[in-house]
Amino acid sequence: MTLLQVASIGSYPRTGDEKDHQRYPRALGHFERKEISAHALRDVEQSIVQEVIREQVDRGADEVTDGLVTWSDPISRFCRNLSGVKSGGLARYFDNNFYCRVPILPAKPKLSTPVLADYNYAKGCSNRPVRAVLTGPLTLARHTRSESKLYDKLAARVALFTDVIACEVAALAKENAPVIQIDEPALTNASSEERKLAAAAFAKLVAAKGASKIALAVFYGPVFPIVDYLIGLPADILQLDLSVDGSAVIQRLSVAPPRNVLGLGAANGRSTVLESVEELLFLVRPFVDKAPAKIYLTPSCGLELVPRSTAMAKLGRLAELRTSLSQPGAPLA
Amino acid sequence: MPKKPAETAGRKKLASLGLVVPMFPAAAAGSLPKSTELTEMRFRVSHNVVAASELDRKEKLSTEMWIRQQERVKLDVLVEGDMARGDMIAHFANRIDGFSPGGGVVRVYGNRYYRRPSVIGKVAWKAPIVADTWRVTQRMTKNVVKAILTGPYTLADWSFNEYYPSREALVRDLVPILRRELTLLAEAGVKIVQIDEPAISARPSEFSLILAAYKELLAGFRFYTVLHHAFGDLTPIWKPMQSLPVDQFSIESANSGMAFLKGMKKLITEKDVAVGIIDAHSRTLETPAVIRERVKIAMAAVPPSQLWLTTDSGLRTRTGEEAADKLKALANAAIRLRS
Repeated sequence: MTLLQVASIGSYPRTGDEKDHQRYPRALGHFERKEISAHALRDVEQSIVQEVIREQVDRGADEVTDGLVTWSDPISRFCRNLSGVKSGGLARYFDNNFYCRVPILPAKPKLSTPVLADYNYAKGCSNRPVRAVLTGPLTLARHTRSESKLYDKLAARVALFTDVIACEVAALAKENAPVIQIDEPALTNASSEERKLAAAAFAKLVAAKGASKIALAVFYGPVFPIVDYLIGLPADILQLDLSVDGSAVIQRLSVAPPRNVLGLGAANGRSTVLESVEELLFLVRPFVDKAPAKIYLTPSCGLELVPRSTAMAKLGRLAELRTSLSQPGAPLA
Repeated sequence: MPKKPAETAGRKKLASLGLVVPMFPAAAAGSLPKSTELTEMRFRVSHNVVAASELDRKEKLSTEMWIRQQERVKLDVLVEGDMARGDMIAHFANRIDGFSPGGGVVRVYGNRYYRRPSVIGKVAWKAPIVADTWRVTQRMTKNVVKAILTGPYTLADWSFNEYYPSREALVRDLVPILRRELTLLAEAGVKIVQIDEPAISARPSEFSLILAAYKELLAGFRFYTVLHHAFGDLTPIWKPMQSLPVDQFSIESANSGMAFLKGMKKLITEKDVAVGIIDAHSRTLETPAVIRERVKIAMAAVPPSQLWLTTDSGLRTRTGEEAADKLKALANAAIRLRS
């Protein structure tokens, strides 16, 4: 019997249409203008984390995240662990209308202690397992620059961020995080050289994971061209975006199911169009029928790029999919 | 440094429209800050607490205030400042059939959000989008005011598409709507039109779609056209961009540490290039030394007769005071270069 679980795999909208949903942006504005203290801002942040966890659970998620609520963006969040990093200009994050500040690395950045406070807080206010999310070394390296010759090559930055993220992985493993997810959207359009760099980096992260499961998440682009490469990596869980070429990916996986647990990113996390259960069944059923031990049913990526009402609806629809798949003889579309 | 500009394609086009611009013409890229009072009034009108006519009056007053400000600092081409626009997407979505402006709030960066509209039906022109306010603004000044539109690719990309089978199909249907708006502007006597297309660098593989859209969009118009881009890497599409039927590329540069220009070293183009030497997303006012350094990089990449100076993007996220200071710094940079 396959264990089917709905999981939220990354960001979650921190704001929404309701006035109360807008208290975090307002608090951040007050903080930037020095009208409230860091402590008061933290209180608001934590109330939002509680709220988004509750919302994910209410919509049927078996595994949740903290919504990455405190992240300014997926890149600068991890440059907080390095001393001397300057904040650069805005750059588009993949093909989204979402922008990151490009961190500029100094000649000798010093690694500081991992940032565990967010994870520990989320763990404390959830009755479901909390998936810890980290940006992968290749994606971080691609979105940073350096004024120093030491880090002007991508490979050098990948190596630096491998150390940064390995420290985070080890610290999370010590806290018994059940799943540590490494986001590597850059793999969807990586060159073969970059894929080699990412594989070596990932092996180092796996070495630091202790008893935790490590997930590799790939999204924002086609997955089929790299599916064999991904299967070859030592990930406990492969988290795949099925919104671009999902049918081809599922076909490939169905031919020879990999040993990794699969996270099927079936609900498009970048579209407000709500998939029907029938559509989702049509997409994932061929693989589910191969009856692997465990499958995650997930959005294709973090949900922050859609409005909050859509994020809730998508998780709810995945829960309906789980129910449909759990019923014997569930109809195929 | 030449005091008299060389004959370039852009200058010839401007001359044909009766416009002579000095060396290093300076113009803001677009939006300017709204006062708290105006923002509050927009909110009240959206909740039917205040009459729309009162908002219209207030928007005109604010536009005039910014026009005088731009005249005072001696900018060469002026902008309306978008006093009548919520943002560059919502304003269009509210005025084109087929969009549901409701959409939902999504984050763009840091602590900035916008209401991303949804396309829920076939898009169609229903009323003037920018032509009316441009006409009113142009009457306020003897200087040239550029009309600014959001381009079809960005409009499509920054909306949720719930109706069309593809982005291409949506772009194709947006083109005649924007073309109709351009026709209204042309009939009203517009001389410079800027089309904002920050999304054109998002997917280099879709550039042929963008090129086809622009050939159709701009066919037959005589005005001088600027294509504005910000916060993406133009390197992969710079060469094919030269086929776009526009007269000027306006590019964000300061915010990204002039990375594109430094990387390209010398831009191969016959078009004019407006380089963003003022960072719209920084509160810090650029010192003359900082501007000098940025101009040096711009001049190494663009022939002087083709070089315009601009802000990276609209200044709407700055305070009124910060924006006024930045406009002055921009104008002064051009004046210093000419002296």
